[in-house]
Amino acid sequence: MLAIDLRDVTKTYRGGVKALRGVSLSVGRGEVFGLLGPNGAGKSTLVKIIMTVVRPTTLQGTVLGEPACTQRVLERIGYLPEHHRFPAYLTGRQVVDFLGALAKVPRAVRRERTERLLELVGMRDWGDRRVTTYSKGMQQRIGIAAALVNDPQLVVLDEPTDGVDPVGRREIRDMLLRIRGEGRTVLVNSHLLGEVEMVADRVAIINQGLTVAQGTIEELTRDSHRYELDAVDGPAAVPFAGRECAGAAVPDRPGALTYVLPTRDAAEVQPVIDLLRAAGAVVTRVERARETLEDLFVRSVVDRDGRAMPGAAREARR
Amino acid sequence: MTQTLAIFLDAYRDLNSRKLFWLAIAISMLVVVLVGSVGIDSSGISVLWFHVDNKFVNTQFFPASTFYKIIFQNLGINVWLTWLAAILALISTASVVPEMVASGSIDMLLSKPITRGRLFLTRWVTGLFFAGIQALVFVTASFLVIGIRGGAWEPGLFIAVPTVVVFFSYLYCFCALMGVLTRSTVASLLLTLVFWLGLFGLQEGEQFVNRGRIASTMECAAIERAIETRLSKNADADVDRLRGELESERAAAATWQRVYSPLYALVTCLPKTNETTEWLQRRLIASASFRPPPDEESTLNFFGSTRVKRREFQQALFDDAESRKGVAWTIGTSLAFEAALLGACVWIFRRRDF
Repeated sequence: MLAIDLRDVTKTYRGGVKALRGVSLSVGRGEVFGLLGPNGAGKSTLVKIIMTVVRPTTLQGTVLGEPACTQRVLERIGYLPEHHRFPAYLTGRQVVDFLGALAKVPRAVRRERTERLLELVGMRDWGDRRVTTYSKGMQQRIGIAAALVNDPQLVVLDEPTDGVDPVGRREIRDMLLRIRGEGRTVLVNSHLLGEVEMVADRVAIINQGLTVAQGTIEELTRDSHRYELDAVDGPAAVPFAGRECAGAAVPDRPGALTYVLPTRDAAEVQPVIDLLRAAGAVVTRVERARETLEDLFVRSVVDRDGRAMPGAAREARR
Repeated sequence: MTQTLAIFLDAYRDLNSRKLFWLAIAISMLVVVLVGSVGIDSSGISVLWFHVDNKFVNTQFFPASTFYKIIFQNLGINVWLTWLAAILALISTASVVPEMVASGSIDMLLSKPITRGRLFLTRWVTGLFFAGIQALVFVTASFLVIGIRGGAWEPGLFIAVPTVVVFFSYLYCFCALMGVLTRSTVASLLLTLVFWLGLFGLQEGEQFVNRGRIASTMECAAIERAIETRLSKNADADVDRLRGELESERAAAATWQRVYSPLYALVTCLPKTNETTEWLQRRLIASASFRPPPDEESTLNFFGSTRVKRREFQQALFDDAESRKGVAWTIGTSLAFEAALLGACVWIFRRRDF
C-alpha cells in the first residue's frame, strides 16, 4: 500500500498563477522519497497541500490510506516546514511538548517521548534553553524532534539540512535512515541533490507544476550507463555499435582523449581497447559510469531548446 | 482538550515573557497602593503621614467606603481599566494573530489535527487573558483596599472583571480581523485605535444628543407644569409667553429626536465601549451603593434649559439608560457585532492559503 498516492493535483493561486498543473506522486510505505525541482516548480506548494496548509484546486488520492488533505490523517504525519519559526519565548523542550500536544499526544506519553527525541537529535543538554539562543542547525534538530513527537507513520521534511554544517548534515542523514529503519515513510523536499541521492530510495522531479520524472535513481538513470575510456595519442574517433564515438580532450592533459561508450556490458568495450592499442594509443583509464542525480535533475528541467528553466541552473549548481 | 490546554499554556508563557504585561500589573498594584495610602477622617484626608483639612471631603460629608468607591470608579474603572490598561493590553496582544499567521509559524499550526476555526478562536480567546488578568488583579486589590480602609466588603465589585474583558473583546475582535487581513501588528494596532476613537466619538455624540433630547423633553414638561400651576391659581392668568416657550421647546425636542434616532440606530449596530463602562457604573451603583453624595439643586442650563434641576436631570438620564440601555442593548448587541466580526475572521482564516 502507498503512503502517498496523489493524482492530478492542481493549484491555481489567486491572480491566476498556476503552481501545480496536474502533479502525480506515489510514495511507498517505509521508503525515503526525495522531492526535487527548481525554484518555483511547485514542490513547496505540493508539500503544503499534503499538510493542509494550502488548499488544492483539484486533488485525487490518499495519504496513509485516508482521503488526502483531511484533519484526521494529520495525526499520523510529522512535519518540519521550511523556514519554520518557533515561538521565541519557548525552550526547545517546550517546543517539542507544545507541538506534541497540538498533535493530541497525551501528556505522559509526550514527556517520555520528548526526552527520547531530544536525545535522538542530540539536544538533550540544550533542551531547557530558549530557541532564540539556538543556531540554525540546532533549530533544525528541534524541528525534527517536534516532527517525530506524535510517532508519525509519515514524516514530511522540507529542507531539513537547510543551514546545517556538513557534520550536522551527515547526522541528519543518519537520522533519516534511522527513521526509515523504524518503518516510517520519509518525504524529503530538498535542494541538496547529493544529500537526497545518498538517502532517497525513490525521487520525483517536479518542474513547472508537473511531475517530469519519478522512480528509483537506478530506474531513472538506467539509460545513462556507459564506459569512459581515456587514451593518450588515440584517434579522433573510435567505431562503436555501428557508429563513430568522437573523443573529447581531457583538460590539462595534452594528447589525451576521453571516449564515452554507451553500454553497460564490459565485453563490448574490449574491441575498442584492442583497437586503441593497435593504433599505438596508451589507455590510461577505463571506468564504468552512469548519470548522477544532478545530471538527471538538470536533464529533467531543461527545456526542448536545451535551455535551463528559470531557476533550474542555480538549483543544479547547488 | 489537550490541544486547547496546550494553546492556553502557550499563551500564558507568551504573556509571561512580555515585559509590558508585568509592567501593567506593576502599575495596577501601584495605583491601588497609592489609593490605599490615602486616608479620610472627620476633618479631611491624609496621604501617608500628611493630613489636609477639607470641609467637603471628610467622613462627615460621606463615609470612607464611598470615598474609596468613588476613587475606584472614577480612577480605576473609567481611567485605568477602560483606557490605559486597555491600550497596554492592545499593544501587547495585537501581535497574537499576525504572529500566528506569519510564514513558518502558521505551517506548524495548520499541519496539526486541529480545525482552523477552533485554532483561530482559541488563540483569540488567549488574547483576552491579558485584559482578564489585569482586571482581576486590579479589582481584587481594590476590593481589599475598600474593605480594609473603607470598612465595606463589596463582592459586587468583581462584576468589573468580566465586564472589562467583554469591553476589551469588542476592540480585540476588530484587532484580530485587521491582523488576519493585513498580517501586520502595527497596522492592526493602529487601525484598532482609530476604530476605538471612532466608536468613542460616535457614542459621545449619541450621548450628547440624548442629553439634549431628554433635557428638552423635561423642559417641555416643566413649562407645562408651570402653565398648569399658574392657571390653577388664576384661570385668567396670562400664560401666552409660557405657551410660546412651550411651542418653541417642543420644536426643539422634535429636532433633537430627529437627530437622535439615526444616531441611536447606528450606535445600536456597533460595539458600545462607552456604554459598557457606563453600564458597569450603573451596576456598581446598584450592587455596591456607588452613588456619589447628593448635591446640586442648581438648574441644568443645558441648551437653554432653565427649569430642569441638575439632580432631576441626572436621575432622568439614569432612568433612561436603565430602561433603554440595559444589558441586552449594551452588551448583547455589542457581542452580536463581535460575533459577526469573528465569523468573518474565521471565514477568511479557513479559506486562506498560507
